[in-house]
Amino acid sequence: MNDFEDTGPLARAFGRFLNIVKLLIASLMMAAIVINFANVIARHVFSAPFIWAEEILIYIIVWMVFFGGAVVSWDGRQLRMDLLSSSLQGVPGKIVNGIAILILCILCVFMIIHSSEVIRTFVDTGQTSIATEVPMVVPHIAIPIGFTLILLGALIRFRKHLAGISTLPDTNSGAED
Amino acid sequence: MVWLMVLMPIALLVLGVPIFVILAATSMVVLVFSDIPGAIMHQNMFGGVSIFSLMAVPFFIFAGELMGRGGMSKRLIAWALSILGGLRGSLPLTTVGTSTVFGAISGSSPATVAGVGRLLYPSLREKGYDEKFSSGVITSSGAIAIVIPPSIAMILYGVSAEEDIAKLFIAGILPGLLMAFAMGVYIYFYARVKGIKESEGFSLLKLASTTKDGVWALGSPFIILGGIYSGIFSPTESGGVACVYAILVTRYIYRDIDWRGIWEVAQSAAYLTAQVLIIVAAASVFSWLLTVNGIPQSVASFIADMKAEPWVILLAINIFLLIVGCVLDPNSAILVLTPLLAPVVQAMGIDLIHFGIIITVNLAIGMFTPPFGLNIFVAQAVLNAPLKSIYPGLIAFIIINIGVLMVVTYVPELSLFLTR
Repeated sequence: MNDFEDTGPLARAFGRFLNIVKLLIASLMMAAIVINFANVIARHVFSAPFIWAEEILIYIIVWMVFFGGAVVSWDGRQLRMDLLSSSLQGVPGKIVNGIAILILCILCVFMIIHSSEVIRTFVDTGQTSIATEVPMVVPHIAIPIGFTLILLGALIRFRKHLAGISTLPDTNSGAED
Repeated sequence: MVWLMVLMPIALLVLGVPIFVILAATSMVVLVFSDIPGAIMHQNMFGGVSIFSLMAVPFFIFAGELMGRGGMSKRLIAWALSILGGLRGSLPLTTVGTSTVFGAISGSSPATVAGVGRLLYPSLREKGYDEKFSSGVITSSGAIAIVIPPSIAMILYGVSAEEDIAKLFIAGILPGLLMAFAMGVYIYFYARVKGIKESEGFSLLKLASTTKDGVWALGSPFIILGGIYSGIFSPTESGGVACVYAILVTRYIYRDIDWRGIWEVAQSAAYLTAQVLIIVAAASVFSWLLTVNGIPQSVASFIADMKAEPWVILLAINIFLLIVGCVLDPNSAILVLTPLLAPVVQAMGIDLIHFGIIITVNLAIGMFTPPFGLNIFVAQAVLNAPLKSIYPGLIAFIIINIGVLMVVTYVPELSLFLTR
């Protein structure tokens, strides 16, 4: 569940999709443990380490970080220093929050555009990794996909945020009365 | 450009923008203004996390969470109490001892405060320790966890400063034990002055029984540190082995957790990994831009021009890090500051392994320094104690640990002795 309590159909559908992403990153975690342990056994017991293990573990971590990053972002659980922002209430708080979401959206668009250029180069050249001969598109694609998911989450959040601002009670009216 | 790279992150930090967004957005603006291709962002982010050593982060998080979810804390407390039971202040001493051993398994300071504090706080209060002291000892001793290996903060420092993580782990052992010892001495005299007697006496039979019960939990630090120290495992491999060990112990020996629980821990570990390592990805772009713009070198030569003695500069760095540690979590602080500070101290001839321990101890103290140390809020939630009690209870422990920090800073051998 996201931290801004949007229970609309779009937010629910996106949340359900991210539950699948959570399953993916947990599977990657378990796979990494198995590969690493098997490699230790292969190296120390059979003196025959898997030459592909290190490369696959690196790709796993890249996927885990960028796909997991989308889940963390949707949950609003990114590490931050929220001393000031958490103490801001009403309109100032909404404005600061809106600026933060807007910056995130611009960053995501920038990353998606430029990461796509890199991905296109890998597709054109057909470059593969050295040990496993995995197409380099596979590990690298996690970055544009991750940022696309972060962007989608941020847009849903921004929509809800704008709706929140438009329905925000006028805090000054009470004083004037 | 230099000012942009300094002022923009500070402004966004104050606004509460997530740290990874601050670093990536600042880098994006610098790239746009510098006419550098945007694809550099992708390449640096990928390069920043595609490092084999970083795989140790999810492994240690997984092993720590799994051991923590089972009844390991209970067993470790019983074991520590059976050793320290004959001493004055045995319960708070047990708190420090358990936090140290727990830290040698989990590497997470808040997890240690939560795991140990929840179980020991009621007993501390029952035996006559007041709210301030009890919450103070729990909140501060949790910080030992990020100095005692394995330490996520040290892995990130090692990657950031391009230093040997195994050496950093080994270098953290004595400073971590010194923190525990210094706190222990204070606790002993505190209990003596206050005339608190909660001692149950030492019993060899009890020690044998608790050791038998806790031996599997105690085996984890031996596997991790023994494997690294003997050179059998790299830190990443030892993390992976610790995961398998934790699964075997919690699932089949202690039978504390089922496969569903293990799956939940895997999900949580992957989640926490993404939370931390996405900052590593963004920080790698930011530090690349710092280097390209010659900022660390400029800072280093600016400090060199001041012609100050190295001890003065180290003191200034310590004060700066203590302040940063109060408001920023250690992992983020290390990723942001290491590229700036490492060239400065290296130019002064300070060993970067030693500096890694200085930075870690500093930020560990920040974890329980008011007003915003993370452990304080964990303790507040877990112990249900008000901040007005926790804050004063921490003062003595902060002073003690600053004393330890001075020893760690000015006696490099304490950190480097075991690495030779």
